[in-house]
Amino acid sequence: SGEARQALERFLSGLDTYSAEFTQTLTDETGFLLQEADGRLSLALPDRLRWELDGPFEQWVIADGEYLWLYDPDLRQATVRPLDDSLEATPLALLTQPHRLDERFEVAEETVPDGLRLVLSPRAREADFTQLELDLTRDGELQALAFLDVFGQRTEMRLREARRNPALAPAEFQFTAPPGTDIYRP
Amino acid sequence: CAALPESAGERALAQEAFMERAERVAAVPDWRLAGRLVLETPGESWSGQLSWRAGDDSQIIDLTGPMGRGGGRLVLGGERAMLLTRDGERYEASDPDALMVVMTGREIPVSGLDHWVRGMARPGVPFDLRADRSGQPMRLFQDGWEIIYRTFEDAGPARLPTSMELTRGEMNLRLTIQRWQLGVPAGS
Repeated sequence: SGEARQALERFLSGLDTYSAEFTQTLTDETGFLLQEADGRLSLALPDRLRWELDGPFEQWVIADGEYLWLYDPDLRQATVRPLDDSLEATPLALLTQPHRLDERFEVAEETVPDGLRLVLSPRAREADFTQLELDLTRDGELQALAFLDVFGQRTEMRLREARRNPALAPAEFQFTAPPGTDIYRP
Repeated sequence: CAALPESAGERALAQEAFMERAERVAAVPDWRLAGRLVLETPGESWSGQLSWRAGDDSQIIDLTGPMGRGGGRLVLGGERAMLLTRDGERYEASDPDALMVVMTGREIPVSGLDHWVRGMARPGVPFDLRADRSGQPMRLFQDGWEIIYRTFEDAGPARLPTSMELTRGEMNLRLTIQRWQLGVPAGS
């Protein structure tokens, strides 16, 4: 397989847990910056994840191994769905089940200025995003994750302060709804 | 902000200043905003990104839910309005508010918001107003909606709203605007 795919394999090999900070930007098809916020991502492969976005668009996404929770502290509302069909809810779910990459995506590669890019097009027709991108260095460091939608809007997370196999408490990947939270199961 | 006008005379002055402000703002047909829209209703609430681009004969309104999902794009221009959803569905109607119901399941008053978001009343429709002496709105009642303006920022012809709340019946919309840009053609 191609260089970018090998870089992804390097990233995943020996990876049990992972944590990083990120800056997320949302731009529209004209490049106009719509939203920018910082956040944190942690993973416990294969199927647990925590993603928290700060700022006015505060959001939490938690995969606890069985379910995927999307929590909005401002609304005091959480939506929950089974993990395996949660890829629709968040492209992040890809990171929880990397072994299912080819099953879910057509994989292509691009070289980008400072690294390699894996370009993933979802096989599921009704996916809400038309393309998912993983930027990696040659030696397998994940630099960024991005997803594009049908209007050309691009959500990009540039990662930093990454740590491989940090000790993470189990509670990191459990969602305990704060009091007064409405929970919805679409 | 300026002291609350008490007397009828002062209210008339504030209303006049409000209309003058509206003319100054309306004189800039190209504008765009990026902000966060929160929609609270008895059922499931919704929050996400709102991007609104207006040119003199067309408008593009994008709603994006968490993780860049859900919502869709509303294109207004001429007689017809068009809705494109993220999973490729396409709808057309003459009334954009009806398309908002298709997109979000709720009646987001697009035809009113177009003006309210700039601190103006919808032309040709009766309204009730509380404004300060400079004509900057504090509270506007129109189309059954109560609109409360909380904060503004300088943006050229007039100070434009950066946080506002709209209520009608059991529906509550909160809009915080992070970026205003005036005078840039909608397409660029």
